[in-house]
Amino acid sequence: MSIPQIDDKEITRELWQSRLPVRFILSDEDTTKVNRSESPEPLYLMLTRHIYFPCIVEKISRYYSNYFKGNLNDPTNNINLNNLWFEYESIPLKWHYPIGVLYDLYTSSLSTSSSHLPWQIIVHLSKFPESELIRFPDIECIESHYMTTLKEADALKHKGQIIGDMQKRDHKQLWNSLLQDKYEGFWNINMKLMAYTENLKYFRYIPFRIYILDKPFIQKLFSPYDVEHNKWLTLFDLLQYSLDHEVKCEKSSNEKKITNNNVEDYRVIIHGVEPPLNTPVQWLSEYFSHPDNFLHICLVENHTRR
Amino acid sequence: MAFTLDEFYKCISDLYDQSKKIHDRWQLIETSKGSYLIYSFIDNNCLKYEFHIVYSESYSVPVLYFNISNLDGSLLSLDDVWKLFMHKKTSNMYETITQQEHPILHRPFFILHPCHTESLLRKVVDQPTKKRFIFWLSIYGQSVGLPLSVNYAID
Repeated sequence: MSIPQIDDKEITRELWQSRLPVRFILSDEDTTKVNRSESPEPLYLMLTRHIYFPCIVEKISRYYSNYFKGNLNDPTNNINLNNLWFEYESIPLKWHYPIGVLYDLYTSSLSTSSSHLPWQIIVHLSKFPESELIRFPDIECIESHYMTTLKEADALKHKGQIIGDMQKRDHKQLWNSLLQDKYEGFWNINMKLMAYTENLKYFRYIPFRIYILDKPFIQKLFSPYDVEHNKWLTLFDLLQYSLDHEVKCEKSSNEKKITNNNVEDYRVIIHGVEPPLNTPVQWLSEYFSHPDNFLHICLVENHTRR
Repeated sequence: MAFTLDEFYKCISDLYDQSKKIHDRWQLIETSKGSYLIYSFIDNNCLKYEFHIVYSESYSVPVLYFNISNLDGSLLSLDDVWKLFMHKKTSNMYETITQQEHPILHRPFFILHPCHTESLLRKVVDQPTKKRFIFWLSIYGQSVGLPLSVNYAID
């Protein structure tokens, strides 16, 4: 991308340090099975926006295990710490998405009040919705999910050449830096993934996912540079292309509900920030991607403008 | 080496046509998010297998997704699946099978990772697309118990 600005690196540091206060409360149903005289107090945690809930789930299950001593193994109450999952506004949280993405998508789309902090999440210890949520029985599972997403991002950007040439210990360093909150350690390796290959000055395709409430995420192939017209494409171009493509597919298969493809009807949120729509998408990909190298873009429909 | 989306659609619709001819059980599903094949059956241990063949735009290759459930509908865990297909748990198991979000249904499915598919397909690079597709399916399928009639390999 053109000339990198000296201060742009600071943006990645700001995003890295971004935190969300979360208040966890136990579901009413599971609270009735507590084996102590007092009910659990809410648990407050300050969480990094770009990590995943399964990374911190042990802390939460340890907290609740104190309230279920003795009856954890009782098969009649169905309480099982391995069945822990989270809910917000009756929606099971897809915890393989980064925490900040879930927050931006659901609180902006569902809540009417302007302040959602601390973000209040309901903890369940029974009735795991296995047809909706992926199970992460251990930390290796979420690590593998992260690596898989990162590999897909590199397949899009460089046909997988950079991640394929990396050492195993570099992969480990990325993940461990993420878990241990080490910005420098992460970016020392991640820099390599932001390089260009094949004599290009941009990525082959931009790894991105667009999230809209009540819809599966949208992912398309999108090149950041228009060779024919010799120009950089912007966030607006990416959104317009993706929504138009989506609508075209929906119409051709006669779907009842057609996605609104007017970009201006949406608030566009990445990392809790609303970047200008004329931002070149190559720049965004380099500076605004999550640690999995994807741009996770939340679109929140602006009902008042309809 | 890789498949274009159109080549993939041609392959799955050919396989579907051939399946009808020989009274096999492949189904072709068409949605606004893309088309894919399904094959399902119940084995002798009363486990229900469901296989999906979906196209990955990121890797430009076909990808095999599957779920295995008990008769009461409960899904087998990752651990159960590993035990079913692998002799012992090794550290690189996470690079072969994991649970992921199905790209069309957006529900949890097990996936055989596609990152080595392209290098596998390089071995048959001079073959016609349909042959490469069957080659891939027979190798990836048999590792997770997908039966494939020899008829598909015969022209």
